[in-house]
Amino acid sequence: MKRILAVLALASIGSGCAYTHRSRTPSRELDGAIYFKEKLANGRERTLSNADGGAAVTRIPSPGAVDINSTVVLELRRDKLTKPDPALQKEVEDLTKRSDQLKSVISAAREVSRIENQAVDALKDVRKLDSGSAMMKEHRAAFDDRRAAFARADGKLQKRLQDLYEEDSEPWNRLNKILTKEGTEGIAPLLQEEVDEIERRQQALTNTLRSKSFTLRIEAFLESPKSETKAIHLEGYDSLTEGKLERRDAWGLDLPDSERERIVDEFSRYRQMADELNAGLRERKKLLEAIQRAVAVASPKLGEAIALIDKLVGDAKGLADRFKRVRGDLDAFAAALAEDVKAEWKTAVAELAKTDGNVAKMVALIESIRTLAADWKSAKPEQLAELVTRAAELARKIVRMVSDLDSQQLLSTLEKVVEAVVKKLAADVRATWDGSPACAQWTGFLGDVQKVVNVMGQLAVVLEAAGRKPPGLPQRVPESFDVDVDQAKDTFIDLQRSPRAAGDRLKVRWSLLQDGKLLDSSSAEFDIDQFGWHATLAPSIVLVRPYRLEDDEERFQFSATLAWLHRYHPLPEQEGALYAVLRFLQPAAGIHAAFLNFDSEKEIEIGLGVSVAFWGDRLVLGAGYNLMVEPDERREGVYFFVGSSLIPLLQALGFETGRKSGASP
Amino acid sequence: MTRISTDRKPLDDAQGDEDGTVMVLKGSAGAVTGDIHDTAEQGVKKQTWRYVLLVEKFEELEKDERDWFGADDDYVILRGMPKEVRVHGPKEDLLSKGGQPAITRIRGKFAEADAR
Repeated sequence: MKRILAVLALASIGSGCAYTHRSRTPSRELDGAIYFKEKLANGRERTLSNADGGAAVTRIPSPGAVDINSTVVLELRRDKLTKPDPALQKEVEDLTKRSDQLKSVISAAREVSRIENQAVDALKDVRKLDSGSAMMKEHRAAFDDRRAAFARADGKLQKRLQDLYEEDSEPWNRLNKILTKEGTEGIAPLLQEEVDEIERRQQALTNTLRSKSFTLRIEAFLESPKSETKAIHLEGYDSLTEGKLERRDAWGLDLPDSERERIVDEFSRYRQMADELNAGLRERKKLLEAIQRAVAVASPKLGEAIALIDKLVGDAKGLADRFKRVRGDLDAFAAALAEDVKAEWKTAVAELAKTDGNVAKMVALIESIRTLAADWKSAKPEQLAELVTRAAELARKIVRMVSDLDSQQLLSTLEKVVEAVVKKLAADVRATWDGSPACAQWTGFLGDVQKVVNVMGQLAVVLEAAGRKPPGLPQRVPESFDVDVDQAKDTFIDLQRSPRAAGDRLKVRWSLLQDGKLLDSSSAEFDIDQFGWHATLAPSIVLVRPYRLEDDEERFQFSATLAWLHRYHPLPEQEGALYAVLRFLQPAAGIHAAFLNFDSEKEIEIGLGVSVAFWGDRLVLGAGYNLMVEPDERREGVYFFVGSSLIPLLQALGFETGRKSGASP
Repeated sequence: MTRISTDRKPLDDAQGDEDGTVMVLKGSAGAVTGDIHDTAEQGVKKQTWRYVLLVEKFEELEKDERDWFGADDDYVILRGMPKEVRVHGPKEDLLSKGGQPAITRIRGKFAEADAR
């Protein structure tokens, strides 16, 4: 009982935590390649990848929150979708830098050549004049200007030419040769040759980069606590079939078949549990068993776990007794044997002590025997084979030692003793463990322990902050396409066409590939929930108390109720005290119908009333009127109750709550 | 090729050109400065105001002409009227690290002289 209560308390804490939007910061280029936004059913848009609504990806939802009736839009950020070969990319960048440098020098050389021609022409003008000409001064001044301008420009150009190549290298020699032979005008054509060569190389590299085609793969998954993870359709990225349009009714009444079946199943199980518990209440001694049976109705797996733990306790006691008895038998046998050969042992020890070194050997031997004896006392089934082997080895060692002493009497005594001990040991081990019921019991016990470890693993899930740890996604959705990055388009996930339910998680994974080889991968997650005003049909099991009974006996009874509860679930970005309270309490209010059983003479008793619920219906309170109470009777039909939607609670724990096949409702 | 050995006329002509910029190298035809001379003469021929002269017999120069050269100088570049030393230095200024005449360096030195 304590176990059950502890589990329920943990579940209340774990599942009562209000939902918050979580995200991680993009840390790699590919993280920012997909911008998520949500189109709500009312036409409003929510940005999921940027808290401020900006166009850049500043957060990766993990998990974010999306409405059950919305469409999740995936916009591509293409600049984050190329990841060329770094070595090639660097080469292209280096070539571009070199080309720019050369082009700049070519341009400077052409300018210097132009100024050089001007200076030469200006000098010609000077030389045409007679020395006494009146124009001489003016022309000479013009020449001086041109010469100085040329000198300034050429000085810079020569320094830049010096820096273009390593001195005395082949291209440097070539440049100097051309510059010597052809002057300034020879520079541009020479350098242009190199620019042309660079551009040819750049083109070749660009072609190489293009030939390494980049493709994008996007896959979407729906993870549900109730079923296995399944891939869902993403327009343009897979050949999966798009689901049927299935809008979730905000009034909670127009239900899909699966949801209707779930509610009917839950309700019928609550009724069954109520019957079991009421039977236990009638016979108080059997209440614990009744609770166990009721829990087993809610969650066969949890019921199994509780039964298993009880069985283990019984098994362990039985096995401990059995083991003690076997060890006791061996001890007694060894003691009797030792008594028989005591006299001979005394002689043997005296013989041994006569020779140097034998005492030390004996001491070591005794130590080995002690260790073996201690190990036997704490023996576990899996150690039996090893212990028997060690005992046999020890016996052989003793015999070898004694045979060295050349004492035939001692040897034969010891051989007798060892043979008897080993035989007895082997017989006992065989009788106790080998194929015996006890051995099977031990094997079964170990198997049970493993099962308990598994059950404990499930319970540990509750303690994890984020609830369930998701199983890994499949390596690849076989129906997915690899789309050329240049051809890739924005896409979307229409949740209304996906087999989703509130509480499911949507996962999107996008991968960048080059020549079919995976380069990098990133993912985002979204919790699917119903936001805003909505109503749900909520079955619960409740403990009902009539306001007053005819015979003054105030009796509590278990009942199943079905409530129509209205609630407001704020979106993560809705802030303020009211929304904070709504998130914390998760309140709901509505009307209910209860199946009562206060009058044993009446087959059916139905009550109607109002309910309030908190923490996702983990706690349900209500009051109502029993419609089957006769108006002329003295007792009143008013009742009130406290209860819970136990099955979702168990689901929050990670327990399967589905019925076993063949079980009757 | 303008070498000053017995005939100093080219030097006098160069000095007489008011617009001329004159590089005078000290050395001989078979030596490094001879190679520099050849390279420079060919490399600056487009700049018609520039002269490159190789003085093979230093003693042929006048006293004031010899004074153009400092103790470590292998070349001088003269400009103005009368000619004055604008740039001077050892032959290494005009050679690559590997010891070859470098036209880029020679034009650089001429540019220094002409810009002043």
